[in-house]
Amino acid sequence: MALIEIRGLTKTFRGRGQGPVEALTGVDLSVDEGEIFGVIGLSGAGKSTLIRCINLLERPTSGSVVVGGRDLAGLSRKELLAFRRGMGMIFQSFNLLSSRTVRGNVAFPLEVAGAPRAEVEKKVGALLEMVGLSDKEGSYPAQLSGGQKQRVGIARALANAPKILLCDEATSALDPQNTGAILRLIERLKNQLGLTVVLITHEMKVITEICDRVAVMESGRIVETGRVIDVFAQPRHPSSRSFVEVERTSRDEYFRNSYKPRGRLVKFYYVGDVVAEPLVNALIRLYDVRVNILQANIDNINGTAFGTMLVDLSGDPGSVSQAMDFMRESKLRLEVLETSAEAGSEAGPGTTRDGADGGGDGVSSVRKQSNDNQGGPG
Amino acid sequence: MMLTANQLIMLKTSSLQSLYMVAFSTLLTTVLGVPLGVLVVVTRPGQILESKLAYRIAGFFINATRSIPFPIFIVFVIPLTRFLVGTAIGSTAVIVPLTLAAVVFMARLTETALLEVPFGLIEAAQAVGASRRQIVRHVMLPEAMPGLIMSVTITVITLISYSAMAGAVGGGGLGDFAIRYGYQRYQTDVMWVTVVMLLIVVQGVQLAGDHLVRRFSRR
Repeated sequence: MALIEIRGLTKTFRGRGQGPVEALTGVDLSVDEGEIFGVIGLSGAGKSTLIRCINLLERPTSGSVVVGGRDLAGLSRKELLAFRRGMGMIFQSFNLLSSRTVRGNVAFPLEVAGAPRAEVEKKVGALLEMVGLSDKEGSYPAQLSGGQKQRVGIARALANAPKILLCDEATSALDPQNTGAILRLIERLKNQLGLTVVLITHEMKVITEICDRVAVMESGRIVETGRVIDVFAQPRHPSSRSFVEVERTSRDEYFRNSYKPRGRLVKFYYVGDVVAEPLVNALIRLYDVRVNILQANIDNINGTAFGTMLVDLSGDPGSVSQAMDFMRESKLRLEVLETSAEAGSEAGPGTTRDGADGGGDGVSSVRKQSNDNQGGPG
Repeated sequence: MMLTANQLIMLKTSSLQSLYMVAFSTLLTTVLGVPLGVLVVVTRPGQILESKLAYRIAGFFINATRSIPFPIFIVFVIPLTRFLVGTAIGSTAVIVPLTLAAVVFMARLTETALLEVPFGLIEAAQAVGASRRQIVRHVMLPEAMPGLIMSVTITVITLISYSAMAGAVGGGGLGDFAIRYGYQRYQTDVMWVTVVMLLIVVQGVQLAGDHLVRRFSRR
């Protein structure tokens, strides 16, 4: 049984003016102990409501949230307060008490829980050391940078030694350097303290940097869930694809619109150890094809390599087909973006792309398209 | 412009009466007005103790009280004043209408100050398991402290102004002295002295308030 089990979760807000608003519609989700689970979506997708249902800052309209085997709906008010102490939360806007020092902020959850003064003193010292802010304990939040504020937020969230950390857009207000630093801190603390982390974000970078699994949300629903590397390498839902391909697509766009391929404009996707193989070299030696590498990139998805390469593959159509088969056999995923008139395919450039976009299943549709293209004279 | 010995004694008595009325009603107003303001905020829709009924009743009570001009209000609450103090006349009796009128004023100012506290802070406190009482005591009130001090300052100044009408029911005070001697007996210098004194007191209160606000501002 997963640590957090969400079944059929629905949340409807009484809308202002134009009727009720469904923020969540039938969300199912399970988060395993010890993982970092990311939820990505555009603003308004419902991810903020979803994470707030995990500690009941929002009351679900229907459906169940079970954490550590306990159904939250059954908790009394008092039990809920105790339950929340077992869960930390950090926020996009940090939400630190401006009237308290760094020390006072971190002490807050302990005071609320009624810990004796001596214990509070001791724990706060240890927590501040853990997030690297021992020298700032007397400062007020207004005197800190964004990154420092979030460190205080993290120390506060972990004060009561929770098993679960909820991160609500925790890095969205930070610059790239601080984002990286905070993400690494979260990852380190997760390993050190055996935390389970649920984070929501609208940035793919956050997901690829530390998450093990990801759920993609769109208009109150989860449209895709899976290991980050799988979703990143082969997004199945258009919404996931748009997150993954924001950057990539804009690059491809140039080649699709402005570049006239001599043969076929093919995109290779490769995951993991394949990165180490000198495949292009093999391709040129084994087949009578010309390879023009237009663009190549390798991303690090939470420890796994994920590469893309855009090439113009020209030469005798038969050899090109064989070469493409060879690449497929080498565990690469192929996508034909465009075929030159000389390469003689009847499939227009647009068709290929549409096929790849519309398909529910990334692999097969891409494969099918490439096969179609091979149907030309050759 | 010299006051006679008699006028000086009157001035002293009036000043002490004013001080007595303002000090006590300020104390009572703060003790009652802040909780009322808190009630209005926490029972708002979407807040930690959401209750349409309580919110509406409190809001109605505040608006109703505030809509009565103070001189009329003094007379209007005389039965209540008699019940509470035993008499409707004198400085102590005036504390009742003063406090009642200022409590609702203070409650509205408190409401404004508390609404300045970002709801995110309340959420953060809820997330660590703080009870509603703890949220009010340890989050809302401390975070709104500069605004609350400003509210008390404004209320004190309003009370000083209101207390000038205490003469209507024999409450005495500086305002009453100024009207009876300065205006009705044409002793213009008495008028001047009281006006200057009030000016200095109000300035002093405002400066002290501003100073405290600065001390408590950490944002």
